[in-house]
Amino acid sequence: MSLLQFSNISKTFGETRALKGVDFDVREGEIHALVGENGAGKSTLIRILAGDFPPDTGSMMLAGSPLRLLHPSDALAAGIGFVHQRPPFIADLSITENFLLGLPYQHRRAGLIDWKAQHRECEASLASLGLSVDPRTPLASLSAHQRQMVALGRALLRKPRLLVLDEITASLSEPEVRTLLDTIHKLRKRGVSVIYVSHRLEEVFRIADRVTVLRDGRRISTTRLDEMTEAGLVRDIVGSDMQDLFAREDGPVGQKRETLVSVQGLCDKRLTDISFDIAKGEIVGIAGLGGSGRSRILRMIAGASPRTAGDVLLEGRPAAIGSVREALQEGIALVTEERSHDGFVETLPIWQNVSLPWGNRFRTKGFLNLRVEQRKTEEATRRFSVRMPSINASMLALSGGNQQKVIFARWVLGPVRLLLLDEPTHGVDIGSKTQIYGAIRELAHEGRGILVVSSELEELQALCDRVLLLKDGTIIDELRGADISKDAMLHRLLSSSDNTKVAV
Amino acid sequence: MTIPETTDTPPNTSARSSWIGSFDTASATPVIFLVLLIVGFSIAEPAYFPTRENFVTILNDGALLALLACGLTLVLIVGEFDLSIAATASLAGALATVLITQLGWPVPTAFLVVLASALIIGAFNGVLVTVLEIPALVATIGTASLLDGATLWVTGNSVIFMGFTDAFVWYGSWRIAGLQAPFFYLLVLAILIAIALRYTVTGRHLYATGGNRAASRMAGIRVNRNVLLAFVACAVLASITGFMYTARQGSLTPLFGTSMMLPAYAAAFLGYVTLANRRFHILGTVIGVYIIGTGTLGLLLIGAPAYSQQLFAGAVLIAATGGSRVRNLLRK
Repeated sequence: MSLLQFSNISKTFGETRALKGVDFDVREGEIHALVGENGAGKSTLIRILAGDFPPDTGSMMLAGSPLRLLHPSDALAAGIGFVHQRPPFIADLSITENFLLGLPYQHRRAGLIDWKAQHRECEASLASLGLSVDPRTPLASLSAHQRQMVALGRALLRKPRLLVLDEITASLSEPEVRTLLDTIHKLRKRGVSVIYVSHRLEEVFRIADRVTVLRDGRRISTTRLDEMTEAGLVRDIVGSDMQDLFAREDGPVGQKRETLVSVQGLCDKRLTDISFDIAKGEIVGIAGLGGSGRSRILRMIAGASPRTAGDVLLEGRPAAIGSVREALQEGIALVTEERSHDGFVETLPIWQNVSLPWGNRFRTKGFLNLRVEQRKTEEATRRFSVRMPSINASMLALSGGNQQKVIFARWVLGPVRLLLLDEPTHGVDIGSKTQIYGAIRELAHEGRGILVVSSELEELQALCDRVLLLKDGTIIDELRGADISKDAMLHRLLSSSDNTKVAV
Repeated sequence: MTIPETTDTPPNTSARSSWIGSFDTASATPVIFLVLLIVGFSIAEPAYFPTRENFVTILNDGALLALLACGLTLVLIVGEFDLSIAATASLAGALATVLITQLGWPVPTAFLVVLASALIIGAFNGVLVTVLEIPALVATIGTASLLDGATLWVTGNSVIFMGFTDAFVWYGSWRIAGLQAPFFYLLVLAILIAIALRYTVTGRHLYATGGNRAASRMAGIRVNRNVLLAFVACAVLASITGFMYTARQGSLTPLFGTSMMLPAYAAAFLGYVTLANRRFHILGTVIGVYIIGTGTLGLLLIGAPAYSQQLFAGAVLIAATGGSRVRNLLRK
């Protein structure tokens, strides 16, 4: 019998049709996995269920009666609980306080909160999930996994009939995942239905009864997992249509190129023995799932994240990468993912953002030559076709794509040999995307080495001469030239390792 | 080169402007406000306000406050606060007085000792904020209290007026054409700082540090060094202010600096809000001080009570900040 039934749900944001007539149902006591690529419509569906916004069309039923969700509190009142990848906790407050955040304190003594009883109750709730901690300690002392359990316990406090788990294992290690999956199994025995959203297909096979695949806002399939193969599931997720936007531009193949960078045995807490070379003029990509540590590899090479071992050789000579400043002096620059966070300085005009690392190059007799600086920075922005009111304008007057082009202009202004790109088209419109791809190829043609991290596999397919596949904290494989396809990357990243077959 | 030149980039005029022309034209806004204020009072009180003596008085009386506020501006530019500027000025005055009047030291030597203490105070604040990562508000309140304690200890918490030598007093009171020494110190130092902020790499980096630390770090800028530098420069300017203030007065009242702190902040913020793109800058701060000075004197002359300086500074600050906000809201 169906607990939750979505019929013909559609949702459009501006020009984008996020969901197109999706049917979706969850049975009583079922664990139902919801899978699909980024942008397939999973989060839109979940957010409709959470009451964040209503669908444009379609109907929703819960346990046989119509479900009206106008506000997040409606979903909670209807008995739907949510646990997200990063629970919104306040790290300085105690575990109990976070556990009850926004909920009434039940235990009172003469109107005042009876902390002893509250702590005891919190401790008992968490213990039933297998987490034994002192609830008086600040939440900050908990690991990601333990926080996840607190979030789960908190969601269970309201005794939900349906629990939505949204990418909750993304930052967890394998043993932690196992504990969490055991807990979910126990919950199902208590009669709780679960919607399980995940990128990790092996988990889906381990835990779920049925799986629904979304792609481009449509429901592709809903299948019992014991009737589904991993290959079939991947095929449903990936589809076969490929857009022109991501057409590959293969250069002359087989020519010998001089090695520019040699990364040797890079390690940190969760990455082990990351080693690879990049030749001059080569674009190398790193493909991995969210939380795999892709970005940290870039940050380590750029001197922005600590490493526990490993070296970076530039043309055979060890490069000093103890800090961002040192790495920059070696000619290693990082374009970060969150431009407004650590990409540009919004209080400085565009031209000063372009010249930011290169002040010394515009100095004559100790003073900045602003005229030369403005001319050179403007030339650099023109190279990347930045659309801007003027070089004196604020960065905030630019679109995301143009902001990114300004950052690119910054790095061609100085002697950068290795350019590290973290999600180079994050928050960039389609039109600018092709221009940015053109710019990246251009920068490589001029002899720089380029290392790209992207969660859009089409992007890697379009750009890269080689793609490194990152899984379980290390590089498991490498694809070259025409072998690079989204299919191939996804197959290798999603399928369980060759020797440990899927076990349910 | 295969990246096509764009056809859609609009022609750019501002980048081709001269050095003078590229100086923010918006910097004129606080100047216009000051001029309007002067014109207003001149119309209201044509006989008594627009006199040479009054303008000289305003320039002389505001100079040391402006010097203090310039130092503060540097700290504000890197995105921090310094609540120890008043205490630093007080201690500088006390040290100089005790060394010169009671121990008989030569004035230049005493001045060097005061500068050395400023370096220590500034570095202390800078280390608390950058290395120990104590929020600047908290750290500098602590420093201020320590310094005030030291001042009271050094002076025995009593007014000192004996033993002020002519040589000492001269440093704060020589005149050219009616204008007193502090005004010229301000003129020189403010111009030097303004040039450094605009035309040196360090100046640019101070602004970048205040604008976005994470982004500055990713551009290879030594953020902590800049913050430390700003605190040191601020303490040095506060100490010069305290030294010259005491010399000009010819007597020392312990903790005299305290009354200068809030006006210094008001002036810096006044300079900040009057600029279209909202940034702290030296010209704005100096003009801010003189807006407060002009308003205060003008109000006195049209019959307002003596405590009107605080009222005027507070009212102008809130009106300027709130006014631009209201304008933005109306635009939406």
